[in-house]
Amino acid sequence: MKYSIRFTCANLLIALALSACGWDGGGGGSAAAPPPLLPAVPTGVSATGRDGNNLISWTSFSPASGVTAYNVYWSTTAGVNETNGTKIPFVKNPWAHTGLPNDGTAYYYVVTAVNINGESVVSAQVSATPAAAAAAVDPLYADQWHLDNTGILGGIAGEDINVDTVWATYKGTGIRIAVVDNGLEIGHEDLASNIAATGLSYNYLNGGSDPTEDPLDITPGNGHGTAVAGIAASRDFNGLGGRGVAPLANMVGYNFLQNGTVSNEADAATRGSPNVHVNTNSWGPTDGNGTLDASSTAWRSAITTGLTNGRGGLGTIYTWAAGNGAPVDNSNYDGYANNRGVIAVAAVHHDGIKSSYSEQGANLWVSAPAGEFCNTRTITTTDRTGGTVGFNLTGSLGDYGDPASAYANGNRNYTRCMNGTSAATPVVAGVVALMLEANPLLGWRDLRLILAQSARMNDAGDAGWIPAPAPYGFFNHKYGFGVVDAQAAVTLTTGWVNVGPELTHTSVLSSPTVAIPDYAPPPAVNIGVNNTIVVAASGIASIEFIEITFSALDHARSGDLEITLTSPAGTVSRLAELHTCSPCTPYNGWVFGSARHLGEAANGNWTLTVRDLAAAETGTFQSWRLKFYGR
Amino acid sequence: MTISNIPVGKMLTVLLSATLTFALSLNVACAADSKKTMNKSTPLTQAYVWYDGDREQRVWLNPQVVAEFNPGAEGESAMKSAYAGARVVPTKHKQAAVRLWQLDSTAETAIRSLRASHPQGNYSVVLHDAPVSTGRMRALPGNVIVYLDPQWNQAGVSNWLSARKLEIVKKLEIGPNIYVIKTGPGLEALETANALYRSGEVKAAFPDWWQEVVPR
Repeated sequence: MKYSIRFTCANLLIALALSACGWDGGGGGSAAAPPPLLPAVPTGVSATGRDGNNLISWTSFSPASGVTAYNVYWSTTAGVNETNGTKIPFVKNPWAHTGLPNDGTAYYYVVTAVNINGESVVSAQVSATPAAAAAAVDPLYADQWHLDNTGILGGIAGEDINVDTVWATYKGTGIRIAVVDNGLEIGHEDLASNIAATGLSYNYLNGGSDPTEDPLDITPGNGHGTAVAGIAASRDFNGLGGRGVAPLANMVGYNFLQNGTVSNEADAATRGSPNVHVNTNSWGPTDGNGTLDASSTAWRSAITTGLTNGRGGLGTIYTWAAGNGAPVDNSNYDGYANNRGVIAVAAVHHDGIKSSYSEQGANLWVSAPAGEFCNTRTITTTDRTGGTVGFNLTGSLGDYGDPASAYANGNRNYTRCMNGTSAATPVVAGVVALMLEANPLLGWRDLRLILAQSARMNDAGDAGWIPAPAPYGFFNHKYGFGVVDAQAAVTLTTGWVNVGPELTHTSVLSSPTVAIPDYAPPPAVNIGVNNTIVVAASGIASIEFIEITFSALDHARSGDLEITLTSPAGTVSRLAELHTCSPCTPYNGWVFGSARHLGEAANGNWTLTVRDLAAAETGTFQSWRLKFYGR
Repeated sequence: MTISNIPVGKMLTVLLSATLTFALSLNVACAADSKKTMNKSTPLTQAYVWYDGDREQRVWLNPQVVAEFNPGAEGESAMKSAYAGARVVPTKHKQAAVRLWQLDSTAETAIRSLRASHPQGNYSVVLHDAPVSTGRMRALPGNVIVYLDPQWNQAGVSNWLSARKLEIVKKLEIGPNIYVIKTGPGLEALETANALYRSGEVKAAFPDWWQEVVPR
């Protein structure tokens, strides 16, 4: 066994302690202390060639061994070692060497283990050669109603994203999706072929490039990112699992949710920016408490940077989970989903009805399938490999691999229980990838406009559908402009002429400073207070988004207030509704976002109405301001 | 609760003796059942300000919760050995980079003690965005994000850093001259950020907060 002394802090402390006890480092004493113990050599190393990647695995050491990490060294020349190989630090077991061509090249690998004292000697060398997989049907595709809803099990035929015809031409080739989440199992059998080249993903815990979730973390939610990734872009026709919406798109994983600092969330929004086309985010502040949760200044800077500089100036596309906190929460109380730079996505069932948890909001752009809970129909996607991690654990009933269920055809590497706006959001990310393959020159605003124009009205009987100016159809505070329609969206991209430069107009700050009448029970009518801002000479004939900044700082219970914005055309954005909040924080320059007025003109009288619909707490309508974005 | 009429000037440590007495009595009362504390809406009284750009924001200290960053195995934590009653706060969606500890004693005292006995550890107080313990959590793993004048060239940035004995951790590619500056963890980061902001020499300065974010 080869030893090498590396002076870590711990070594130094040990040496100092030993020195104090009379040890002189071994030079002059008769009983030299042994050098610090390095890990044993990893054993059981194997390499398997797969489609566009090689999977390297070994026998993991137990947590008690003190091993803290593994490194892999690779080369295309036999005889690889830590000196001549390319080092990939901090890899999980198993690890996939991704983004490889299927050109017959053999790759050679050795593995080392790391502990507090240093790195072991290298393992025995193994090699593998990537090779294309034979085409085979995806065994779980029939369960993926979000892709092709045949109307079984209570679903309505056609209540899907209308994507199967798109695949004849576009599958997301050349488009990269960044999955910002709590991890992404890059070695998963149905994902690895679509993972970008090694080194492009990022792990915010150790600075390495393997964002795979901790194999020892058995928390069910720890498979979230892997499930999200599968919805967006798991590989098709490989005889494994189901399909992603964009089954040949390329993915990177950023596990920001394992280390949620402000600098990390800003980094995750812009990392790889020149080559990341879509940045998909199925996360946010905690849902269901009715609280106003702001985004950070740094995150907003990052989004602005992504919109300005991403894709060579065309803008990174950000897809965002609108939130699962209904009926208490509204997406307008979320400073991330509320931002004009993101596409806020709501969730629907297989019959087109809103998922109970999906939040309403004037900021919603589109909806996508996600289902309700696992006892009905949710989304089939990839899960952490094996039955000890992820959502689908050994013994789980009613999920793939349960021999007593209708889902015995699958295995625990997949789940049919992914839901939430988390599931709806990567559906839209996949559709965006298809659109960008069809027309890579779409600007970020153009892509949003196409999504709005091509979305399909679902739940047609719902009274919340309100006409929007042509060509945008209808808007609904539950659904935005409707469910994404991949075929319609891709069709519109063909021949699309990008819109001109974005115009902005910021109104005066209006400070009515009037008391908001407290709630009075019937027969009293709670009309609240109004204030109007007159917008003139804005130059904006077609609004694309509005930010409404509002303050009622002395009203401690923000949840008591219903706030609506009425446009010159008479259309209404419902920005806030009566709701419980725990904790309630006052409106202090809160910025609401509204997509509701897409296509309207900015000039004219805009009225904000504030009503207090719960007794006791009172306060003042202090100020508000409008900022229009459009052309 | 109305907060608009509370004067907020410098970084405040508004802690009226009456509310302190009340808070301490609450702490004692809650100690036996502290595992539930994070789920209950416990009032918080000790407020701090920070600056999100030009906007003054307030956060409230949770007196009995400590955030340990880059934690090792739970059983090997210095927290566990130093405070036998320390319990990991159960969270539905844990982040591997942080472990939250519920203590029977005061968080700030515990952190001072831990820093003395385990200087390699990274501990922070936990603060909330509302004056109750159910408010969104934040903590301070160290470092400050500064927005410097976008017109400054590299020499200007270097000179400014050098004059203030500040060290760049990394540049954030989210705009011109936006950097992460090195500080220690805990309130030191908040104090440094506020001092930089109040100096008028920067466009913005705020701690590189750890925040509560969850998968959906």
